[in-house]
Amino acid sequence: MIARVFAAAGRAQPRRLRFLLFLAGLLATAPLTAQSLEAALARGRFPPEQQAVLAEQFRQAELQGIPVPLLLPRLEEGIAKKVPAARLEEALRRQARLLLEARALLVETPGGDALLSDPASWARTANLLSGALPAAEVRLLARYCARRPADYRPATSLYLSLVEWGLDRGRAQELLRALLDSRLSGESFPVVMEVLVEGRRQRLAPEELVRRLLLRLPEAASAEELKRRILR
Amino acid sequence: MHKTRLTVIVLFLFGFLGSIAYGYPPTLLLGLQGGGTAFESPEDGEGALPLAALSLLAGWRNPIPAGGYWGLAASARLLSYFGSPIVSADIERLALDAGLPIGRSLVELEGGLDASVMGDGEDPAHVHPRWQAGLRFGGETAQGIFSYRGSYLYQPDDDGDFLYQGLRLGAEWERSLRLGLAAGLEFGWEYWPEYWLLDGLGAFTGVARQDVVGELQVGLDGLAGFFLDWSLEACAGLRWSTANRFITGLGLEEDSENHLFAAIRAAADWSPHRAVGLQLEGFLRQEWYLTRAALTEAPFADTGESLRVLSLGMTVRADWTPNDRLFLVLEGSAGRRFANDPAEERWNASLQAGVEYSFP
Repeated sequence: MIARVFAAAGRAQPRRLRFLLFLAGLLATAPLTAQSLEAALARGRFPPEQQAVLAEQFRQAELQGIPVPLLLPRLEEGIAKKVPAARLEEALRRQARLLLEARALLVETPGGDALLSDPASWARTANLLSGALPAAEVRLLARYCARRPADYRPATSLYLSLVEWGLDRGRAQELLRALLDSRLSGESFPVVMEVLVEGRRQRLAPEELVRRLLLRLPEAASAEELKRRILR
Repeated sequence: MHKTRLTVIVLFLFGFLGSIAYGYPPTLLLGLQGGGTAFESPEDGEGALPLAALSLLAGWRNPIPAGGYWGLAASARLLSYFGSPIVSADIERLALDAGLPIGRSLVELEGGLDASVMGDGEDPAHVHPRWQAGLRFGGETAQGIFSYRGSYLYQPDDDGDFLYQGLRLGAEWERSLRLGLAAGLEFGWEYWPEYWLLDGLGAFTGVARQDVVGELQVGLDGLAGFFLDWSLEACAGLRWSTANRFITGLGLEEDSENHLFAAIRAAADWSPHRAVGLQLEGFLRQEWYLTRAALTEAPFADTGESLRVLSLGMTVRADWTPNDRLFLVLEGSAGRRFANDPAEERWNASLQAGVEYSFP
């Protein structure tokens, strides 16, 4: 009976089922994260009143639907760097705000719930919004990656690298779409960087290399094959 | 017969034009560099000379359906050393390679030619055709490679001509783009038709020299973060030769070319921005001769030691481009050869700056 209900739910609303499973996972890990939070606060050796303020921030965040594990790394980072409590509070507030913005953005994005159901992708979106990219671009990348949520991190890392390297944003987006449509796995995405470095050494313009990549990606079976067919 | 020939021509043209339509535009690069070189060797003595170089490079890569490709690359480089008299050198290269998929395997064919009319600065005038055929088999992450390679070095003004025939068995493991591993074992045979063995009086016997060479190779390569590509290769092997030599005052020395060798080469290629490229390459090679004596300076005397030679070198290249067409290039290189025989010792260093233009 239960199996049938789950099967029916899976057929009718797979997204909702995924989100329910995500929440179930969070509930299962809740005692553990509470312990981690207590342990982290104890490690920070804050005065009791500041400890209470920080704990309250986490409680407020949880009430807004932000799981403790998404904020915990920021606290641990602050403790490791011996950041004063006031600055840490501000950093946590900012992180919570970014996570809420990221959630709103992913909810609005078609297929974005697949990314939202993965805490790492949610946190990644918040990181991208923290100044790395404008919200419109993050939304675009999230939309591209909706079909391959597991490759969200390598895809967005590559995109940031390409833009920082000097590739036109439009070209980088075209390339990312072609990669996500290809048979290459996310861990093979950096092959684009290899092709650009090697191609540049051969004095091939990046735009010509992108053109070749766009032509060959649909049929590429592996990163090695792609390199062999593009570079002289 | 006539019909068959016509069909072959039509098929050839169809395939050729088809691959052009499917392929990329050819690339053409023109370079002009100037700089200087300093050197010391037993043959040329010690010196420093200004130099100028003109280079031309053309490439054409064409993928073919079902995962194959063929490519053609040709280059020519003319160097002039402004001494008294002006000395010129030239290097020409032609390479054709193709990969033809057969099922899950790939047949790799390569042919090429290295040539020099005036000498390339190290070797005299020569023509060196090379050919290779191999089969790459296996999955996407691990592959085996079996290949045959051959070459013939023809030097009209020297007796160093030789024919090489070799077989190589290798494996490559692409663990990830961050780390790839390769290993190979190569055996080859060389026939030196103009290098005749000598008798006890130093006279030619008419018997040509023959060598066998065995070499074990290992390599690592990968992408280390942001647009940084690196590779590390090492090899070790043995050359076993029938060659001998006659030293005035010392007599005939048998097996003079037999030696063990080990080498390591490292390279890194980094482009922190599309406008900037940096390349670093270094190598180190040690040779241990088994019977060849290390000699003193003339008049030659046996030092009682076998010859040992250590060669090392490094090249650094940097370039900047404002528009992906015009490249400003700066290149420095240095090499040194240490040995326990003064006739084998030498060094050189050079610094060059120039421009390269990639035609649209």
